[in-house]
Amino acid sequence: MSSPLSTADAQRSASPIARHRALEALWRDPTGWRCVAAVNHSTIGRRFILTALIFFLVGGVLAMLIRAQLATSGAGFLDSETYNQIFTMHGTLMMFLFAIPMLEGFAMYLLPKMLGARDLAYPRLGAYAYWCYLCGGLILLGGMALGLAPSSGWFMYTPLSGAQYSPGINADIWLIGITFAEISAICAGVELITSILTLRAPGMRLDRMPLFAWYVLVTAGMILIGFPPLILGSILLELERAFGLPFFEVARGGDPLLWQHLFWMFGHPEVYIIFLPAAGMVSTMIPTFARHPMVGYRWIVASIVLLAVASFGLWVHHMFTVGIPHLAQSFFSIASMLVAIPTGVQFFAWIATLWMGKPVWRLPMLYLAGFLFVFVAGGLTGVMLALVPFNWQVHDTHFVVAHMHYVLTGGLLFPLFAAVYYWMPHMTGRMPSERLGTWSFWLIFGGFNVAFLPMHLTGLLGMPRRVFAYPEGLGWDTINMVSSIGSFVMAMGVALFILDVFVHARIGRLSSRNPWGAGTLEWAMPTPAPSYNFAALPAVDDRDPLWRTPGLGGDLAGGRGALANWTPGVRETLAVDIVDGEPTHVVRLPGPSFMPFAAAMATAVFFLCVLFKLYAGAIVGAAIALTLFVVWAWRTGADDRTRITPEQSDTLLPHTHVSGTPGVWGVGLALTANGTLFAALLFGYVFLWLIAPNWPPAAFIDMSPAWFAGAAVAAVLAWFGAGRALRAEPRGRIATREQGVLVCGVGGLALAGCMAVILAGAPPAREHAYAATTSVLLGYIILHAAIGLVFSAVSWRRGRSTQHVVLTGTDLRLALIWWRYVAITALIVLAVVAGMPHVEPLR
Amino acid sequence: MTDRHNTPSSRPSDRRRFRFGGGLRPVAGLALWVSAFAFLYGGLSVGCRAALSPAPWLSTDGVTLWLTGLWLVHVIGAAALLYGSWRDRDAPPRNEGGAAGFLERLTLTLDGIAIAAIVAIGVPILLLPPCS
Repeated sequence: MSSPLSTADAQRSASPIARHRALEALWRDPTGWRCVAAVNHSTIGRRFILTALIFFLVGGVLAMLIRAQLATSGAGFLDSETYNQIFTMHGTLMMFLFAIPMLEGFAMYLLPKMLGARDLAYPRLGAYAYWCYLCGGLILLGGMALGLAPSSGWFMYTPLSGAQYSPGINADIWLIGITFAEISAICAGVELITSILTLRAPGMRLDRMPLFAWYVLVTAGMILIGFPPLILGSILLELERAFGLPFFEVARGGDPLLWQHLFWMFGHPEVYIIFLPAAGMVSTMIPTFARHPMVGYRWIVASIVLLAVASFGLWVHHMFTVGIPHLAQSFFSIASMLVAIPTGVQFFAWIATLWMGKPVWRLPMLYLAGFLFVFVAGGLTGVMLALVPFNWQVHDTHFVVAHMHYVLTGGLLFPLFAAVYYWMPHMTGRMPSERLGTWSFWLIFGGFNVAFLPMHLTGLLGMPRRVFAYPEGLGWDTINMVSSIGSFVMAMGVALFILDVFVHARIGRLSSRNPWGAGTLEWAMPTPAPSYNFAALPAVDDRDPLWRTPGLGGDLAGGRGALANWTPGVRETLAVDIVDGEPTHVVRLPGPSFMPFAAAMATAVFFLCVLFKLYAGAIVGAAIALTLFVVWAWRTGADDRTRITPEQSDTLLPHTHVSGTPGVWGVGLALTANGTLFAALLFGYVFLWLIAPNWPPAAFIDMSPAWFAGAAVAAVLAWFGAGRALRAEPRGRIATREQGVLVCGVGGLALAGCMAVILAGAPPAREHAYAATTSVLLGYIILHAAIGLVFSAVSWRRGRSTQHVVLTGTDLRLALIWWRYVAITALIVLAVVAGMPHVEPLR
Repeated sequence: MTDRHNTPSSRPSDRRRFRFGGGLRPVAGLALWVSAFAFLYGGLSVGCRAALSPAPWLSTDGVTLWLTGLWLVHVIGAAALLYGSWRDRDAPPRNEGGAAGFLERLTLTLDGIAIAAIVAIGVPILLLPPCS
C-alpha cells in the first residue's frame, strides 16, 4: 500500500510538519537493541563525543592521582609500577581516545549540517569507525582494570617497551588497542574528506565553504598521512615482541631510534591534528560573536595548509638529544620556528575579525578568550623548545610537561568547551546556564594556570618528568604542592562544566532556532536537529548564508530547495562538483545496518586473539571480518535497479550511474594512507641499512634473478588485465572484460607466488633486521595481491549478476585502482630487495 | 529516478571534472618543500655515511657541496612554480573570480610561502659542518 506522501505531487504540497514526519521516518535510527545498527551521522557523531567524554573523565581522574602523588616529596601513595601505568594511561587516553575522537565526533555531527547535506558519504564506514574506536578503548581500559595497563609511557620508547624490559602483555595491550583505535581514525578521515569534497549544498563553491570544513579537510588528510607510521611501528614492535623479528633490538641489527622516528612522524603532526579542528571551531564562533565575517579567509586557508605540511617536518625536534648531526637538527629547528608563522596568521585574523566587528560577550566567548591566552603562552614556549641549546637543557623535564599542557589544553580544551556551549542548543534545543558556565570557566582557567605555570619552574630547576617520587630539599616541594592544588581546582571546574551541560540539556531554557545569530547553515534547521538535517537542500551563494537569508530555515522546512521530494525508502543527498559546487549527481545512502557492528566485532576477535597469542583464532577472526567486508561490498548498491532512459539523461543521475562515485574516492584515499605506511616501511628499511649498528648481516637474500623478473612481469600483467577489463566494460564487450579479469587474476596469483618463493629464499627473519625488514616488505606485497584477488573476484562475480549490472564499471575501476597500487609497490619492493645488497659497499 | 523538485539540472559529462593532479596544484610548492626536507635530511645521512670527498679544485666539503646542489634544485623548482602562478595571475579563470580564481590566488600565496621556506631550511647548509 502506498504512503499518502508517496507521489511527487503530494510531496510537493506537503506541509512542513508532514514533510518532517515523512523524512524522520526515512532517516531516523532504530531504537532498543537494534540501535547498534544505527548509521546516521548525528547518532555516530554523538556516540563519538559521549564515549570520548568518558575516556576524558577517566584520564582526568588519573591526572588527579598523578598530582596527588607528586604534591609532596617522597610520597608513598602510589608505588612506581602503578604510577608508571597511571601516567602512561593518562597520556594514552587523552591523546588517542579523547582528543582526536572527540573532534572527529564533532566533525561527523556538524559537517553535513554545515555543508548542506543530509549525511556523510559512508554512513556504514562511520559506524564501523565508532565500534573500532570503542573496542580499542575498551581493550586499554580493560587492561587497566586488571592491573595490566601499559607502563612504558604514552610514546612507548624501545627498548623499554620491548619484550626484554616489558614482559607480559601490558605493552601488547597498548599496541593492539591503539592500532585498533587508529583504524577508526583513518576510516573517519576517509569519510570526512570524501564528504567535504563531494557532498555539499548546490552553489557551495570551495571558496564559500565554512572555514571549519577547510580545517577538518586538512586535518583528515593529515590523519591519512600521519597515522600510518605509528600503525607500522606498532605492527613492527608487536612482531618483535611476539615472534622475535628484530627491528629495534641493536644486537640483531635493529635500532631503537627507528621507533622514535616512526612514533614522532605520527606524534608531532598529531598535535596539529588536535589543534586544527579546534581552531576551526574558533574560526566558526568568532565571526558569530564579532557580528562580522571572518577576516582573511584565503590567508587562513593558506595557513591551515602550510601548518599541516610543515607539521610533518618537525618530528626530530623531539629527538634533539639522541645524537643527530647539528646540521640535521638545524633543519628541524627552522621548521619548528616556521610553523609559528601560520599559527600567528590565524591569531591575527581572529583578532582582526573581533576588531572590525561589534563583539557581543556571550558564554562561549569567555572560553575563546581563555584559549587565546593559554595557547599563545604554549606556543611561545614551543618556539623556545625549537631552539636546540635550550631544548637540550630542559629535555624530559617538567618544562616540557608544562609546555605540552599549555598547547593541548589551550589548543583543544578551551575551544572544545566553548564549542560545547555554542552547539549545545543545536544538539539539545536548550541553553546552558551563563552563571554556572562562568564559574566553571574561572575555576578551569585559574586552576589550570596555577597547576601548570609553576611547572615551567620545576622543569627549569631540573625536575624530570615520569618520576614517581622525589627527595625533599631540592626546592621542588612548594611548587609541586601549588601545582597539585591548581589541578584539583581545575578538576572542580571541569566537574561544574559537565554538571551544567548535562543538567541544562534536560531542564535548560528552550533555545530559539539560531540563538547566537550565526551565519552558517547548521542553524537553518529546527533544534534539536532532525535526523535528516534539511527537508530541502539550500542553494548557497554566500559564506554566511543565514546572514544573507535569515528566513532560510523556514524556506527549507517548507520544501523550497533542492531534493525536496524523496523516494520512499531511499536516503538521498546531492553530490556537487568539487570546485564550483554545481550539482553532479544524487548519492543514495544506505540505511541502518548490522554489518558495521558485526565487522567491528570480527575485527575485535582478530585483535584479541593476537593479544593473547591465539593465532588460529586470529586467522578465524580475520577470515570472518574479510567475509563480512565482502558481503558488505556485495550488497552495496545491489538494490539499485534504476535504468536510465534517454529522456532522463539531462537530469541528475544516481551515483551508481556516474563515474567518480564515493567508492572510488574511498579506495583512493584508503590507498593514500596505505601508501604512507608503505613509504614509512621503506624509510625504516633504508634507515636501518644506513644508521643501525651491527650491519651488514651475515647473509643477503639468495635467489635467482628470474624470480624477480617473473614477479615484475606478473605485477604488470595484473595491472594490464584490470585495465583491459575496465576499458571493455563501457563498450559492452563482455568476453573481453572477462578475459581482462582472468588475466588480472592470473597475474595476481603469479605475483603472490613469485613473492612467496623470493621470501622463502631470504635468510631466517629472526636472525637479523635485514631479513626481518625484507620479509615484511615481501609479505606486504603478498597480502595486497591476495586482497586484490578478492577484489577482482567480487567485481567479476558482480559483473555476472543480474542484480549488479549497473555497478560493474565502478567495481572494475576500484579493482584497477587497487592493482595499479599493488603493481607499483611490488616493482619498488623488487628493486629495493634485489638492488640494496649491491649498494652495501656505500656504507 | 527521483523527482527532483527545484534541483538544478546538469549532466556530469558537461562539467569540468576534478583532476587529482590539478586539484593538488595549490600544494605543489609545499610538496616541493617536503621533498627538499626529505632529500636534505636523507641526503645528509647518505652523504655522511658515504664520506663524500670534495672536488679537488673546491675548498668546500663534499657533503656540503652535494647538499647545496640538492637545495638549489629545489629552490629552482620552487621559483619555477612561483613564476608560473605569478605569470597566470591575471589570466582566466582568476580574473573571473569564483572558486577557480580563489584557487589560483591560493596557489600563488602558497608558492610564495614555499620558496621562502625552502630557502630558509637550506641556509644552515652554508653555515654548519655537515657530519658533526
